Amino acid sequence: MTRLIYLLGLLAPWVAASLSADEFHEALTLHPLPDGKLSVLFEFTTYFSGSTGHGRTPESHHSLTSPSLLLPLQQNNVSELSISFVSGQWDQHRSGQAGPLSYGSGGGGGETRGWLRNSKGASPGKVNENWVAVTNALGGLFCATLAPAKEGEVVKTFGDIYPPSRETKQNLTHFHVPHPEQLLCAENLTPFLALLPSKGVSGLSHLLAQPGVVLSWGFKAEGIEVIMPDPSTATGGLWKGWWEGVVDLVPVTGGSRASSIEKLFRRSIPRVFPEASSSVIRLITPEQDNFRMEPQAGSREEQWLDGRKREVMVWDLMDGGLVGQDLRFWWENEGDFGHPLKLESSPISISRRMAAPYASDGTFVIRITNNGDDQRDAVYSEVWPWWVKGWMSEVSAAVESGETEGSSSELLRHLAYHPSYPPHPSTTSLHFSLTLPAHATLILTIPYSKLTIKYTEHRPDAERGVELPSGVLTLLDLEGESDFPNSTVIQSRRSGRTHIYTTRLLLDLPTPDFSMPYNVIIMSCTVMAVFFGMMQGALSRQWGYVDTAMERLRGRGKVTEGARRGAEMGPEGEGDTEKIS
Amino acid sequence: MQQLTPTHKLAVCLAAGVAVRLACFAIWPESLQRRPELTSPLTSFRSLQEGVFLFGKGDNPYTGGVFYYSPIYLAIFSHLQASPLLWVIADLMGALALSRIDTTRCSDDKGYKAAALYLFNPYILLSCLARSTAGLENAVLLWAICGRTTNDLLLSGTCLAFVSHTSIYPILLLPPLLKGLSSRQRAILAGAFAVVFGTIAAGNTLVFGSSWIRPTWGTILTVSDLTPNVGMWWYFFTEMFDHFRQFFLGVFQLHTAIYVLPVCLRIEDPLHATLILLGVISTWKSYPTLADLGVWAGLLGCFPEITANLRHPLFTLATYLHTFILLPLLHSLWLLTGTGNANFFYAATMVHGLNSALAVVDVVTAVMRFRLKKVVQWKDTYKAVQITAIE
Repeated sequence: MTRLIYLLGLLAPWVAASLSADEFHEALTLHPLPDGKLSVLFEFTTYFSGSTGHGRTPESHHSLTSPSLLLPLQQNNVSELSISFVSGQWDQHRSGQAGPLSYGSGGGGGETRGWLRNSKGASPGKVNENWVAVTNALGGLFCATLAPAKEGEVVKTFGDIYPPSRETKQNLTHFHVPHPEQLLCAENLTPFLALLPSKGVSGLSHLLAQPGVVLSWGFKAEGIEVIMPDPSTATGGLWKGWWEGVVDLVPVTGGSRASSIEKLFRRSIPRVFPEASSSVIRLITPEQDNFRMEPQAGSREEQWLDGRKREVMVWDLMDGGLVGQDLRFWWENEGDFGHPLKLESSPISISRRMAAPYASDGTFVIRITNNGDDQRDAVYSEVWPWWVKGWMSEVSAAVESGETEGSSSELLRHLAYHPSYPPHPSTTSLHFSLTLPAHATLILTIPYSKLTIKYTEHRPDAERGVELPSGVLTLLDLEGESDFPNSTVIQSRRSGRTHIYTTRLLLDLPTPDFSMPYNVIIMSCTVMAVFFGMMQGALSRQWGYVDTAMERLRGRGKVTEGARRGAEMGPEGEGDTEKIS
Repeated sequence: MQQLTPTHKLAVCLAAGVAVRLACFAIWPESLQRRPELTSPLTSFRSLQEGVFLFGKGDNPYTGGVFYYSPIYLAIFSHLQASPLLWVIADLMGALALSRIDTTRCSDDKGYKAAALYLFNPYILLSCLARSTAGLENAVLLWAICGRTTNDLLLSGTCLAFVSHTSIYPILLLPPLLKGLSSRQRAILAGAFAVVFGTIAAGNTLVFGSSWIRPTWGTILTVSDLTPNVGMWWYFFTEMFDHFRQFFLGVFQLHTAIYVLPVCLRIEDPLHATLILLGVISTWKSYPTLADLGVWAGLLGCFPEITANLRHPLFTLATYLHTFILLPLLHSLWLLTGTGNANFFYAATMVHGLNSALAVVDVVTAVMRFRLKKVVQWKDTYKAVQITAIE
């Protein structure tokens, strides 16, 4: 029930917006992390109506959204689409957060997901063609590879993991294409800015439009999420773009963490974008008493973040008082920042590594730690390329601590296994339904082997290895971020983060010697020819013998010339050889 | 002390073979199960367990590139506990079949030597420890040959149909087994073969539709799984240019089948022909393991007249010993420690394959030489008379 209320709460502003004209909201969130770093998140949300005009040629009238984004989606029956690029590695342990603030970001590399409408009467392959078409179009827009290299690489079993964000009567198909090798880079930022109505010229996007600054940050994530208008329920659409980076606040030479907008972006707070309906800067205050800000925030909110109640300071830029100013924050009486010896961990953390990583096989070891007081329900999902074959009969789940709090079947309730179809390019996807006991680490082990693939199927840099997409842990029992009365300070289910990602893995394949094709063909064929020749010789030769006893009698112990020739030539030879057939 | 009768000696051999196997299973229960020399993707116990597990879960085991077994295996192992005892019994049955072949052919030999050669052949012993299903198939194959020797043609046809169904290549042994029989006997053997083979195939199709054919027979014929093994195919088809792949697949498969007709025409004794063709198959099949060579060596033990005429048995044995050390060593250099590359293991399989090829040719020439000697012996009495007449 509480989840439903939460869902309605989320949907309310959007339903309201769908009735009015297009709207644009922007927000910049600063989140100081306990390890001396700062997470910076830009969010740009545009609501748009679903009007397509009534002329003979359908045309869309969007005042704030670029048609280059919406037209391919309309053309290809897209209901929802999400693209994310991530580079760098999120440190769950040091940050105390299970992932970045942008919950839509994937685990590593590129990722494209979407729900497509199945058009009535069209062939079943039509929706697949639509997916390839729309990912190709947006791949061109973002200067990145988003489409599957081969059709078999599309994963269709993640619909339950990423459900549609709104109720619909339409018949939808889910698509998921991970591109773990596709890192966020400079080419992806410019198209992102071009999609925004403010184009990086005014408003908060003016701070972002500095590739030299934002691309030098450590962890970076960029993404868009589009929800298209639904004609069946007459709701409008929205699209949200985000950009997140992690900055090190502590100078290289050591010192305090004191920082400001000007120090971060080398610009003061810019003029508000005239079309924006709201424009705010938010700061999630760290849980330390000596934290100070200047100027003081206009308002104050409370939010549950990864199971902890946090105070959020909000500065509204719409009143114009902050334009051209700076926003500073610091820790009072802080000399040199000392890295904390003890870090508070997030309620759920996850890591994946390989045990016994030989070139031919190995074992994935996934450690999921539940630090909360409650038992949790979750689904852990993996996607593998076709040449990784898992041994499902050997999968095991166990609790790390000495005392086992349940059998393997209680921890691993269900395993949905969707195998690939070797030798055709395809993907294996796995969904493990897990029970995570409180204050315990669950260890999931998945033994796997790697198929030997043809030398033509290897990538050009085969010796480097191939990235495996991140594993996803989906939490099934979240209660949302909004503050409810009578909730305590720590409650692990109070979070909006549904998905927790592991890092990517680099897998090396057993490689043949790429310079050897001719040699191998020649040598193997030689062995075959030698065998064939010897068999042919042995089977077709007539076997004869020289009767030395007879020769002794006739030639006094000497074998005659004719007899010797006969022995060499077989029974057709002249002389006194015996013919035996 | 009373002299042991041959039956007692056979019993002692079998008991010792079982005891050694049980002891090894107790000491190293699972250490050899993943050795590429002993198991191929088509005979690996790990794959079998995985397939049975998926089948039990209600999934189709033939997707995922893990399970290439005939549905018969699913039917058997879904109900039967896959205990090590099964492999011990299979080896025991194989040894019994060999001793029967031996006693039927050579009345002076009481069969315990052939059984001992089979049971204590390291290739067979290690394959049993690896629980490779090749061990089970070999026992059935030996009973097919044994049935032909003892004129139990129904048994022969049934066993051959079973083992041909699971690994295809034994179908090439049908012509030599039919050789030298009356037309009525031929009808019995071929009829039994056709009925059993057809029944199994029809039963499989009834349960799985046609989805089992591509992963089982298709994998054997098209070599779609390129996991390294001791054969000559995997690296060849890993390195093959795509546009030549079909052509060379045809060449390699035809090359294995091409010897059936000339061997059957040229070699008089059907069992000699069977022995030679079994050697050709175990050398040139698409997914060979050491167990295939082991069963060939075991059968060769039943032919003392041929082993006596081999030209280079010591060289062959020494080279097998050499590759026995070389194969695991170079495999681990490539795939485990990562200090070598694929050519290392390929070189070892080349030596192994070439040696097997030479051994087969040696057996063919030994058969020829034996035939010749027999004719000479026969003529000696006639000649003695002739020589006396001249003098």
